[in-house]
Amino acid sequence: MIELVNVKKSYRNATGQIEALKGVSLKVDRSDIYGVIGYSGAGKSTLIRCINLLERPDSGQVLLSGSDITGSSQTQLEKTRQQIGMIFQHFNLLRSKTVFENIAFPLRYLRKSRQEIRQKVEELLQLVDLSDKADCYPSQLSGGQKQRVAIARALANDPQILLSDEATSALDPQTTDSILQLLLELNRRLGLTIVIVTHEMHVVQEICNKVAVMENGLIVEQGDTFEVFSCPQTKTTKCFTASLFREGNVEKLIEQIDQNLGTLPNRKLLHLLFVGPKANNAYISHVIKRFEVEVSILYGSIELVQSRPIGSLFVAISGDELKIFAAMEYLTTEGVGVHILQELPCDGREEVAV
Amino acid sequence: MKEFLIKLFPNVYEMFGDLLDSIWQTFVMVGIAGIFGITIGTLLGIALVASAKGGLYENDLFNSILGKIVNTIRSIPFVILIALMVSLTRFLVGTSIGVRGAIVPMIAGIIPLVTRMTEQALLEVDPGVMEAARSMGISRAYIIVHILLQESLPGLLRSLVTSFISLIGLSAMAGSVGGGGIGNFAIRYGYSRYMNDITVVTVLLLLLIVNIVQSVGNRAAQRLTH
Repeated sequence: MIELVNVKKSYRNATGQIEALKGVSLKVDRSDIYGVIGYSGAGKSTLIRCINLLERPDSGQVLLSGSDITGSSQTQLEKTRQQIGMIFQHFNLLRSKTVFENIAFPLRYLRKSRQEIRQKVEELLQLVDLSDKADCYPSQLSGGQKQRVAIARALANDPQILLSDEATSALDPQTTDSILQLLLELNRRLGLTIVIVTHEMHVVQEICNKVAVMENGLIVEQGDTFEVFSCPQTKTTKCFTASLFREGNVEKLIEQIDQNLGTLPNRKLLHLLFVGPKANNAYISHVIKRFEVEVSILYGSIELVQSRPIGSLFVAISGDELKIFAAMEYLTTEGVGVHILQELPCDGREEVAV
Repeated sequence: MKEFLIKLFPNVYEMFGDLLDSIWQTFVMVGIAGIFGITIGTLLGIALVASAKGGLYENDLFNSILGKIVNTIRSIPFVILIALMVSLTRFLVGTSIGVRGAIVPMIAGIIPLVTRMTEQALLEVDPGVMEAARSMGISRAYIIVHILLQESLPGLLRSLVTSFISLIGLSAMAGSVGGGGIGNFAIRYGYSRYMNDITVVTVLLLLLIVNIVQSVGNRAAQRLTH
């Protein structure tokens, strides 16, 4: 459906050249909800803008249904874009127009008949559950309602693809969930292919079946959402997985423990990830018996990613250093994800202005 | 009452017909110069915004040349602009004095102001909204007319008001160098012949006109703001 092949894009600013995309390849299939996650400055927004050529890549190909659109003329491009809806963080509605007129805008441009427009807009208003707000102006709506209007407007031309650029980042958690549910419903009902750029783990966890993790203009991991986050390989992905399990809580806990007991010399903080049926095995008691280490459980929880469970335990393990390593190795060979927490600073958000 | 007013403004009473004529002349000058100046200025303002960096028709060279021309004309004091334009004015309308002679420099004087004010009003439009329109596959010309201009309508209206008020000011200045209108009337009688009552009445008249224009404009802009 959508394919990016080795796309590169750089900008010039006062301090020099910034490479926003350093050769990115991506394949989105029909009816995917594809998440692109990364910290700010990772290049995700540039990436999604390359799909409808709001940004022209310096090199590389953008294929839509198999045909390369990077070479198309302005008129061809306008035709192509009519088949791709897009929504934004700040909604980007026309302030001077009512909800009805905002949604009708792309239809008026295509000179649809008055009747056709009325019918289509009413249908879309119903779809996003805003039929009673047709005559309101955007300034009279809440953030969630504005985003619903934007979604309706993006769907006016019956696109097959919807691009979402941080569409829930300006919304509160509840509203975010309602927008995500709406996107999921659109995906299921209309078979809409959705590409979502976000820095919120929650968004990907809820609705994306595939994910690409971006860092520094590159995709560092991509694939099935559950697999990527249940078995994170790179630092950035590990940080996102950890954020699922409210790592902040653990840090506070550790501080308290340190205050009460004093820091133990040979103590490591580990984040253990249990995936699938293995979660049932009694690894912890086994480790304590076999390796003669002390394990204190700080915090545990289970999160659903793509409706499949990932178990998480934050533990402090202390004892002989060699034995700790042996224990860690044992857990790893058993298929438990072991991440040393204190070697995992999650403030790696690069401050690159794009 | 009438006696009292005649006593207070004797010269105004005597030259009331002339005063009415001069008011009419001011309206003609401001009207015609306004139509041309504001149309051209608005178009140039659009051109300036569209050609700017990241604009719909980005063009650095055009943008910087246009910007420099506008700044240059804007920095010339209007009285000097009138003198500078004498030959051009004579060529265009056949005379450099009177109402006709004043209109040409008034147009030239108001264009840079309108251009810059239009630019300011248009820059208020959220670039995100235009990006959204581009993402829908809407043509650039359509975006200019239906988004850029419509979304900035309240701002444009306010700049229109300011333009007309400035034009009234310019017309008075043009009047002082032989251009006709209220300004000419005030200079000719109030200043040169020490008829202070005429000066006072013309000032009151200008105040009244400016206030009417301002409040009508404000109300209209208010109504367009959502």
